[in-house]
Amino acid sequence: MPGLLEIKMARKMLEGNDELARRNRERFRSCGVRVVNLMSSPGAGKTALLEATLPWARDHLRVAVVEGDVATARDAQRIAALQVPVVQMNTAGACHLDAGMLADAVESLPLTDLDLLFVENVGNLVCPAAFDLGEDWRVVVLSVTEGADKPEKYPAVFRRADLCLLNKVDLLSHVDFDMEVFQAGLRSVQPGLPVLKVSARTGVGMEAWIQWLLGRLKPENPAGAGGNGFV
Amino acid sequence: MHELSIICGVTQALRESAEARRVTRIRRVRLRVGRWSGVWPSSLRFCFQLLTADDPLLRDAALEIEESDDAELLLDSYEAEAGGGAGDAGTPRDQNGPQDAGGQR
Ligand SMILES: Nc1nc2c(ncn2[C@@H]2O[C@H](COP(=O)(O)OP(=O)(O)OP(=O)(O)O)[C@@H](O)[C@H]2O)c(=O)[nH]1
Ligand SMILES: [Mg+2]
Repeated sequence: MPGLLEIKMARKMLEGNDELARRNRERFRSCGVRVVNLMSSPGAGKTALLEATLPWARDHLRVAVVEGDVATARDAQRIAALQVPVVQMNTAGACHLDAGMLADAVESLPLTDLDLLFVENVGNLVCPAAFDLGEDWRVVVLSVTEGADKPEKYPAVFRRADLCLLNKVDLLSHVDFDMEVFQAGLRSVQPGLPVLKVSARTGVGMEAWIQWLLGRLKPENPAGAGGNGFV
Repeated sequence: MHELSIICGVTQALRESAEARRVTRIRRVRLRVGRWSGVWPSSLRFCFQLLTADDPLLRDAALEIEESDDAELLLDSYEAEAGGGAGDAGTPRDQNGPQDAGGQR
């Protein structure tokens, strides 16, 4: 009987993606553009939040958007209506954006002329969490209609986030969203994760979100200072 | 949902490494899957079976998955039958040796 040989690999299964993400990050840094990766389940309001954020952002910063969707260019059309440069990525079924897709998407953007790039990930609270894109900050959006238990049920995306936006707070009185349960769940997954309560519909909380962005963008704040992501 | 593409990467890496070491049959594959990785061990197993059923190198390999308390997804190691006769199939139990660079890039 032949002996067994043990061979150590110690190799990351997502090594390919991680390497591309590292290159993206280097490229973004050398171009002087900061990147926000927006993640949520379908319909939590990522595009609506961008629509509420961009009219302000566009007047103060040079911004652009990458839209990731399984199919259609609807979200990109919504963004283009605000006169902001936008690239639509269709993932043809894939449940997340990966670093290679983002590298392709930004080819058509003038990166050196930008201050801030928003990447709207595919609507999915699970898979995008595993794929580093080379972003500086990861922002997870949860809407109050989804239920307060989601941080505990989908921990990965909350654990690696730098900020949580709790959206649709205008609907709080119509749903049974338990703020205590939500806060406790977040604490168990990532104590200290900042949360901002916002409504893309009424504009509540948008000021605080913009202040958060501006704070990040200050030159003295190094990219990825949140330290919860992959940086 | 992306377990299949992850396992594709794993089997690819194993095939490259096996070829570089002239190993023809792998008996055991060890993965470490972080609790926070968003990946399901049971889906990984299913995809592994699917992708190795017709592959003499891998079809008899047992997949061992250890859960870790982080977000890592690691192809830790594998065990192969030693000595298919070909010279440099590696040193038995050489887990402290240099990490496998098996045919990458
Ligand atoms: N009441 C209320 N509705 C909102 C709010 N934000 C978004 N919506 C609505 O929620 C629905 C989904 O919003 P989208 O912005 O398309 O959500 P999304 O996260 O971009 O969705 P996907 O791109 O499909 O993942 C739309 O009908 C929005 O008008 C909010 O703050 N309050
Ligand atoms: Mg959208």
